[in-house]
Amino acid sequence: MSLRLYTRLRGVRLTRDGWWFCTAGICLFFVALNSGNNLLYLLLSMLISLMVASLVLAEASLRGVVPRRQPPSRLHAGAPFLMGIALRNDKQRLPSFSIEVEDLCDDKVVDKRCYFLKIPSGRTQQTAYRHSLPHRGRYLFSAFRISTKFPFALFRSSRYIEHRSEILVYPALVSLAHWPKALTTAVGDQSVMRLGRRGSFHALREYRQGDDPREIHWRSSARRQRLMVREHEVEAVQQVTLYIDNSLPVDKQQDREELAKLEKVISWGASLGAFYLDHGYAVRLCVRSDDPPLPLLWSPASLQKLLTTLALLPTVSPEVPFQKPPKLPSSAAVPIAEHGDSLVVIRSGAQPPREKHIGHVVEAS
Amino acid sequence: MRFAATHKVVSYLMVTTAFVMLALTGELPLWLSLLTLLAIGGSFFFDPQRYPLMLGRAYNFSLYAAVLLFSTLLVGSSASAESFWDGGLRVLCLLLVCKLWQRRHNGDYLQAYVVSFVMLLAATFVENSMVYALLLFLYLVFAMWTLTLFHLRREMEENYLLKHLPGRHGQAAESERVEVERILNSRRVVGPPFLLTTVGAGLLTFFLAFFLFLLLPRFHVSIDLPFHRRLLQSTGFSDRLELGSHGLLRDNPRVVMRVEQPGQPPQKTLRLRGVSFAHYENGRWSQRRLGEQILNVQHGVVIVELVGPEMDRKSAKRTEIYLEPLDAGALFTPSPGRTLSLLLPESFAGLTGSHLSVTLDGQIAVHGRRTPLHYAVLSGPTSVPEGSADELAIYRELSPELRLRLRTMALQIVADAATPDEQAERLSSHLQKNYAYTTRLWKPSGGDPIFEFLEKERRGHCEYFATALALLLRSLDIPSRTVNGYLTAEWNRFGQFFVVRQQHAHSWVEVLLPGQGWVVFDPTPPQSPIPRLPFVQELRQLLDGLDMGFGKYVLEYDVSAQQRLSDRLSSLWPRRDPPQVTGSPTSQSSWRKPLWGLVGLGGFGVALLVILRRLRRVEPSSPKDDTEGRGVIRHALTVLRRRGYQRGPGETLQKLADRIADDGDPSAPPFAQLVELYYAHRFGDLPLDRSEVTRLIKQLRALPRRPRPAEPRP
Repeated sequence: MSLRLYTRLRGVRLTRDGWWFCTAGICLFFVALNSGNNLLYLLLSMLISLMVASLVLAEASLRGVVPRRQPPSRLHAGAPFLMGIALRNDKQRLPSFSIEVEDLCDDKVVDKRCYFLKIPSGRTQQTAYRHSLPHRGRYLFSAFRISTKFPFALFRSSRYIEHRSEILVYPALVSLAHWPKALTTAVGDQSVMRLGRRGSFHALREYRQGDDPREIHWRSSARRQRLMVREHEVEAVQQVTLYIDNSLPVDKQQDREELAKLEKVISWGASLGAFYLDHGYAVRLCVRSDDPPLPLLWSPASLQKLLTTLALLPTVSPEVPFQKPPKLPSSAAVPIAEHGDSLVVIRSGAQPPREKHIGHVVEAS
Repeated sequence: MRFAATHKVVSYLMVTTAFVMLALTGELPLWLSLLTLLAIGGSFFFDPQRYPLMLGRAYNFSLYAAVLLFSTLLVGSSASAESFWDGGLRVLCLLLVCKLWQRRHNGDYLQAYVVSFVMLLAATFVENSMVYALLLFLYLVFAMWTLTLFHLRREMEENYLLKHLPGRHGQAAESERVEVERILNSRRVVGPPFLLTTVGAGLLTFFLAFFLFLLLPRFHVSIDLPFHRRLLQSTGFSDRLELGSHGLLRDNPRVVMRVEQPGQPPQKTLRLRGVSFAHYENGRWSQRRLGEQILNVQHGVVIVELVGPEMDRKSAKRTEIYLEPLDAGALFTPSPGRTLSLLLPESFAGLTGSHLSVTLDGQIAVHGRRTPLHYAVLSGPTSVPEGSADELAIYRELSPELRLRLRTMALQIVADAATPDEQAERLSSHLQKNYAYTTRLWKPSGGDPIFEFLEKERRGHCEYFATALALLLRSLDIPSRTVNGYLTAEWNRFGQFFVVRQQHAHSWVEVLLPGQGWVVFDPTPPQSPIPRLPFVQELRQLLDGLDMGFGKYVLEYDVSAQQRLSDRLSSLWPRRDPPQVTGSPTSQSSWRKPLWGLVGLGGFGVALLVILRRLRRVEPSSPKDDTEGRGVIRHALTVLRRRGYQRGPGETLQKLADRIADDGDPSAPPFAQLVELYYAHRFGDLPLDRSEVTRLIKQLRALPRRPRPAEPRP
């Protein structure tokens, strides 16, 4: 048996119908053996050849199909999302029937299947499966398992097709409706709405996806033959510093309950950060890490930076100090007001940092 | 072509083919075949979905109860294997019709397919014609269509549940139920190219099946099944023969046997001897089995008689006879001639209860045979019997009254003929010229029917003629006996063999002439052949030739044929060193045959085991499928469903747990813990804590039932 055939056979499993079929075949074999009736042998041969035909047709159906993944632009832990799957049939003439596509996430089969009834030759069909990933972090979607029970549902023939995609899952965003008012409204009462677009002109830069088209500076764009947008200085903004304690004692770093609490902390931090950014605050993020802190975040567009940082936030030991809060930009025409700054510390059992601006401490329990 | 309509049509084609195969075996009564066919046709135009009554449980239970009761009556009271077989076939017809009239969903189709396969199996037990092979090919093609479409339909119904749509205006993704009916009525799923491709695949599959058929090892274990083809009814081959009781087989074209005489030029007619009768009394012939002895079958060769001059053995002729299962035990041998030996297939020795017997007059009978039989007869020229005068006296026996009346008539006919052969010739030609052949039988008035034939009616069928000649000869003290067998002139030019049909049954006389032995005399006037259209005759011959080839090369294919094929194939490769023959060819083949079979069976068994083990193995290097965790969650969801919590379309487990917690249901904490465990196992690479899972499941199941919300009062 050639290696190729051997490896293919490994992806073939008998279905329940297939087992019944085999049982019938074995019974028939013994009856034929016993009676010597050649027509029973012929019938038995027919059953065997049907099984062989089933394998061959399944192979023909699987051959030449190419799956592709179309992930959503942003996903959060625990939130359902739609993963788009496109399947293209590269065969010249034959269509492919009854194909199931399963995704492999971190080398495990995702328990959702996409079913394609018929893919005509040279055509692509799309569908999606609904799924949710429970934890933040980086997920590796390494391959697809395409399988079929075509034509007689006697076997499930499957094949693995490598197709790597890395997907970053942001922390879950929770509703802040039931949170203390001091966290969401007290701070907001003192805020001055950010006037980002209406502030003084700061500089020109190249257009990036997501920029407001109204900020395009057409004259400069025409001169440089590429889109340029105006940047404005923020005139005044309330600042919030989020201290997220991402530490756990070493002996508790494998404890499921403690880890769950820590995840909750990070989820809350992400939710608060998103809330503040959405409401015009400048956010400073401080976590326990040896890496330099993020620059000051002050627009909804920088939410992605916050979420990415939190998505990849590792668990460290309590000895690791908090990052130093980033300094205010010195070049700002109008410095960010410091008098009304708030500090939010979110921790999980660990001692909060001793800072003079502690406003609120949220503990995960 | 609409998918659902195509599926229905091919399903009906498949089950109808299976039923036709069964009906053509003749095992079902004609009325039942027609009734079932009508019911199948009627059900095609009936849609049970339109009648809500037929979809209810009460209707189902009552229908199944009726079928069960009817089946029990038909099969349960069977006293013998034959009645059980007949009852079983009737139950099959009933089940098929019931299923087709109750096509509520896809599963009903599957049950109809299973019944059709059992019908095919039943037909396989008893059928052995070429028509079977043609219908089997059709069944294979229809089965490929049907099973494919059935599978696609089932996959549609099981997989096309939800369609996910991306959320609009920042909302969450939406899911909506898919209307499978719309797809079932689609014309884009299958079309003529699909069906044509499947026919091609069916053709290749059939060829592969035939190839496998040649390869499968043949054994014959000596346990015989009680289900066999219904035996062909024959007349005149039992121990007794009563004149005037039967004989209307002239119009029955059913083939009884096919006869080949390899290496010999085709004769005009072929006479096959079955049974002979020696004792006559009051219109009844009976046999006298003189010197009957049971023969042993060794290695498939039965030596009937091997004495005689060397010349006889050199001039012996070989006749191959393919005999259908008859209700009579007689084995037919060429006549005139003396059977020297009989070659039987090896499988004969395995037939339970079958044995051979031979009498002094060369009449061979097989007892207990219920299957077709191919045997070869080696026959030589007739020799003078060496029996004693006492043994030959039974062929001169005649009651005094008969002798007195017949002798007068015989003497008038033979006149001046002096020798026995002249007298026999004159008597035979007298009967041929002055009496008429008819199959319209007259009823004997009560006396000896032979007098009515000779003196009053002067017409009759071959048994009357043979009886008259034998008795007239006996009245002249010439030993004679009547013989029943077949006389055929139907030569098949396609297959180079004689076809013997039931309508060829015949009766003649054997006369013992001094120095010549037993000589055949046939006093029956020649009959004009039944007129047939030439192309019908040609077509009939062609079908017969195909049937013969099918029987010869397919039905007769056994371990010896396998060995011959293997030898022929191996002879295609030149051997460097010819093997040294140490023993005789006979001894060599005697040990090679079982060895060949053993090796074949062993190889097949090992291959089967290896393939099955290989197929059962879950690929170790591939990522694991988390069936254990899924099973736990499935179990928990079942318990929750009983509590009234159905997982919504697209709802995650966490969302469901939150929903239950919001309701304040006591099942919320254990279920939330289960979900956590499942997630940790599935996505955190942590092993599933079986004891914890069991505890939580038990906790879930132990919860008291939820009180139903009180219905609002009007």
